[in-house]
Amino acid sequence: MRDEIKRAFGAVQADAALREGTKEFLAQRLYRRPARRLRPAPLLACLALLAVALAGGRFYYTPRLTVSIDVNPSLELGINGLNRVISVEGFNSDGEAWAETLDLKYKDSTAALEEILASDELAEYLSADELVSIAVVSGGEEAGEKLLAFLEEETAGQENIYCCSASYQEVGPAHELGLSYGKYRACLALQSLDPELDLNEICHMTMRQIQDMTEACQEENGSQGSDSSPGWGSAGEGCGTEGQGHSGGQGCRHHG
Amino acid sequence: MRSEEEVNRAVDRYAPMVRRLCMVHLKNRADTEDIFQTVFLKYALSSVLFQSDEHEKAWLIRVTLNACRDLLGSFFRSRTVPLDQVLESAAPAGSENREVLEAVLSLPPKYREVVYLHYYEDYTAPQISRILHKNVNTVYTLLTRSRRMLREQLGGDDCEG
Repeated sequence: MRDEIKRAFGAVQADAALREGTKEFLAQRLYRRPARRLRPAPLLACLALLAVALAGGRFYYTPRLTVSIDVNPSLELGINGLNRVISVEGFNSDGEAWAETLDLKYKDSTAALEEILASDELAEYLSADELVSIAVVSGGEEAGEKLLAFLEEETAGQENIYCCSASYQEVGPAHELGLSYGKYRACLALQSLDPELDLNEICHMTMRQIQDMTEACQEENGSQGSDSSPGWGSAGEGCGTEGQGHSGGQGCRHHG
Repeated sequence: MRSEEEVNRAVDRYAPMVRRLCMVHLKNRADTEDIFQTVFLKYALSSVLFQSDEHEKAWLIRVTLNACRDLLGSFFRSRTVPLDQVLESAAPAGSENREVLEAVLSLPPKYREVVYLHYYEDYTAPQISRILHKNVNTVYTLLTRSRRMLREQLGGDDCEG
């Protein structure tokens, strides 16, 4: 059986046109960029087609929620109004490498998050005592609340996973700075405790390092709460204590 | 970004593998060309440092399978072709290879992938589970069931695991 399958698949080859076509495409796209004169008619036809395609796909490809997963890798899932994952984006080299190995596009958002939570990559970080932040960023829709509730249930009992919510308004500038929403939020919280800290320095830290520094600042400021949750709530207030998290929609909850 | 020479080397080396994975997903010629471009563009732009040839190969398998599935999930590009058409370009009618390919390609998609990776690429079930992000027991189950289905179609009992 094995030999037969090997023989059968072994006879399937990539023809020269496929190989050379791919090389030519890559050469044109990456290594040579000859100036091309655009012809109006095909260009207009392309634009018309593009407009039709955009109109058709606009609803599907418009993200309504973003889930930002930050450890050292920073990863963001864009989720549309049908709760489908429409984008998986890494925000640092580790995040990009992780994103490339994930097959989450077009999956249901909860199934995609279950896959990430069960992944070997996340397990490795947790076993190394890294801290994982999962932030659900929305415009205040109920879907964001539901997804956060789902994440809390899924991560209940996981000591080093924190689930938060945030609004697009609050974390808007994150992407301009090359940061994921969740990491930007944590950086802002730390900076609010110690305004002398440079955001450019904080953003290179892991979430564990940011948490440790946040706790140290809270101790210095004498504002340490009764639990060990990171101070990633709004304006750097300690969060995770009862009454602070969910009600404002901006809290951060720790499953210890 | 990787150099043109490095990328061309990868195209020459892995093109047959990518072509077979496209065939496993019953892709037509146009989609196969698109997948080739997507996979090797990602390879060219990727900053991943491969620790070995095996690491590089497993990475390319994963990226190719993702590209095949992404195309399946797309609104505008959701095309697989009939089995006969795939076989036409892969094995001439009446050949022994055609019978085997037909048996494998007529399995449900999740079985086809593990059969190809196990029997052709010689990956073990634990290795396949890492490549496909599936539970290792699921892979064992898929292999067992696919062996049974292939045995029914092709006959014989020498279907070693």
